Amino acid sequence: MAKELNFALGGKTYAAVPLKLDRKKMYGWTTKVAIDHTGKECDIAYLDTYDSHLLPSGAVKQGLVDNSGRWIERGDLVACDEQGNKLEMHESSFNVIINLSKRANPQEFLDNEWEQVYQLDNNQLLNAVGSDIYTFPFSYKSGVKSLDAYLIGTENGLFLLAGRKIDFSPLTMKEEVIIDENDAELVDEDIDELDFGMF
Amino acid sequence: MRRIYLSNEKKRDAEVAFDKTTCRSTVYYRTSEGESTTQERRIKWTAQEDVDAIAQRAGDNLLQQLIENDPEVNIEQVGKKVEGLKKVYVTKNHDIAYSISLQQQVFDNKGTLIETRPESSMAGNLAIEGFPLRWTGKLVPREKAMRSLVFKRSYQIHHVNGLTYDFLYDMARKLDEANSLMLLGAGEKGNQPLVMATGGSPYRAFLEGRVFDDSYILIMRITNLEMKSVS
Repeated sequence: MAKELNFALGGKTYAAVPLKLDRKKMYGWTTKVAIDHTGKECDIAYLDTYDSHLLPSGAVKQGLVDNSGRWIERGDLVACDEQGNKLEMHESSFNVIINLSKRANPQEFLDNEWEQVYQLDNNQLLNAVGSDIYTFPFSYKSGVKSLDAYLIGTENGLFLLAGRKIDFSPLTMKEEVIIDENDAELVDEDIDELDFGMF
Repeated sequence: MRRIYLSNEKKRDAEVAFDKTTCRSTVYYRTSEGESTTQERRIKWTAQEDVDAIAQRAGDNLLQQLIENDPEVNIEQVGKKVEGLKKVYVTKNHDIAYSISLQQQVFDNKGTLIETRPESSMAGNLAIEGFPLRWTGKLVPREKAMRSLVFKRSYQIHHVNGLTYDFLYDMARKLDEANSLMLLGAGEKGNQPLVMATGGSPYRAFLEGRVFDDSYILIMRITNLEMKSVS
């Protein structure tokens, strides 16, 4: 059975299963396929240019090492803040009742970089929220990371958006900036693709 | 700061700047002894240790090979740090493929393949001199925009001198007074979606403005997702 989020608003509680907004399910998607000269589909791999080893997709793992280069397993890591203080664990939002007590204004809502968007199918909660926007901490899973979440009603239903706050500073005339002439166009991947077409 | 060209309602354009507003992680991982950690990439296996490759080399002696020689483990390579990897395409036999052609498969929202066509990537149109992002005149009330669109990223626009300060301040003031966001158009005709970098995804871009006495905030917000029912 799908897990529910439980909300408390105006002395009542409401439950709803969050349904993730997925671009693929809404608009479809495209994939890139490489075909060799025989017409067969190719796979992606990576070439270690140092000693020419071929590394199939999934053959490289990214992780954390200590000062002596020793690999640290995830379970042995300690989450800290910038000052090195151990961070508290947050309970998953599915295990608590989310108290809708704090309202947000439109600017507070807009000034976020969204990481997760869910639809909540509960008309009673939608009516109770009305035109207000509520904000609360949100953690899909138990852990140290917690996002800023907002509950907002729309013509298409009730949505929960979770992300990180962005701070914008007002600019006076004195605060002019210089354009970085060396700033190259953004590249999605930092792994170069060698073109073998010339061979 | 990166370059961007914007034009206003009078079709006056200016070269201004923007920065990416990244939300820096506030979580740092340390060892149990309190040591700092570094991210690295390490090898798990190479093409030689691939199951199919081992089976092909071993032939009928696969089981014996696995028990006696452990061909699936390369103690010279496993755990080795890697940097500067190059992406290549390989055949099913893990041979490097030559003369490849890239195709794009298009699927509908139910996962049905509807088209296969030659791959084409959209050119970045963020900062093309002579083709600024255009003030289309299409205002979307802030209330409507925030209840219908999911803005994936936001960028603050900055002035580079006194003239562009007036230019951007005026934009921000108009948008603040209208309590609305302005749709921006990219490309030669000013009606295309925004593509931040060549090969990137297209987004619809909007400008939002706020003014406070002699200071302003002008934000470019981009979206490729609507708040629509998925149930």
